[in-house]
Amino acid sequence: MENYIVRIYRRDSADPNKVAGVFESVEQETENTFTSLNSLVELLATECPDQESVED
Amino acid sequence: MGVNLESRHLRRQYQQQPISGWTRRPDANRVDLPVRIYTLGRFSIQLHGHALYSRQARQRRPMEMLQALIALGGRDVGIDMLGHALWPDSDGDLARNNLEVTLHRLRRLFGVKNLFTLHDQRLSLNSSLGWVDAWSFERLVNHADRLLPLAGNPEVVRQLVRVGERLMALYQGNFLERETASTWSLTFRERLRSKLMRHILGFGRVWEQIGDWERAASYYRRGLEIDPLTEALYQRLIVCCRETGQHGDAMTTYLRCQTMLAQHFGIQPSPVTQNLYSSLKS
Repeated sequence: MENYIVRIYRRDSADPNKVAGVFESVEQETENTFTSLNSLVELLATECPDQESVED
Repeated sequence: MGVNLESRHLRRQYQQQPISGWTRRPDANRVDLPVRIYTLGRFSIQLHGHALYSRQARQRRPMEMLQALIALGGRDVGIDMLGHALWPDSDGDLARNNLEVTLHRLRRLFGVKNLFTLHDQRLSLNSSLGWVDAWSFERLVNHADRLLPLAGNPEVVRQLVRVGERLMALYQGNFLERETASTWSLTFRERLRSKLMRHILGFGRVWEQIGDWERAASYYRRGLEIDPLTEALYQRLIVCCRETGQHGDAMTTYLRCQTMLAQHFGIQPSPVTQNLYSSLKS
């Protein structure tokens, strides 16, 4: 399991993509900021470790 | 069961010999309950008024179990849930066996009869024998929730002063902030932190309404110590400084807000904050 903390400090009511916040990776003990939902997704993708393929 | 803790006879019943590796430090204060557990900003335990601490790494698991039990509510926590929290990679039987062994060690560490009760596969920390700062904090927050809407009443305000001071005194830091973060601790940690921040703003508003600007300012400053990126706290602090004629402090507060937002997000203060800044110059 991966644990992250996302704190959102500002939202733009006119533009839902505009959010400012902090993204913390608990295991890595890193902290990054983001200013849009897109950049938040990018941070999450960057932190995501290589997925092992799961076969049935 | 009623417990007279001043009774030597009963107290002896609760006390058992702690296992080796744990000692009681005599420099702590006496308290009214046999066990007091501090989890906010630190992790420490007082047993019959004396600090309990470990010198051995092998006591780590029992302490983790105690921490997880507290984080999961402390009362009627399903042992399957507890086992999964502590041994997420173990199957059910192994996790349950680990749990039983660790619970046995935990009970021996404290040596307080009935401190940990197990009924119907549910574990509880007996609150009539053990006090936990985080639980006390939550109870006070709930009490404040009931009081804050009634803040027009002077008696309620007097109660809020006491509740607010107690809340601030209890919250010495985040839940188990010096311990390794786990999923179970994070959820509880963030919930408590969020409640504190919400109440700092709620209490601050009450102090502002009754004109106690200094008290309001001290709350907002405390909030900024915990989270220096919360713009609403800067806004309210600027108002407090302005109302008490401390324009220099108000300007400094604005500039700090501006700097923090620029450094972390590359953004400017919101129009509300900028308007407050403009009001200082007029």
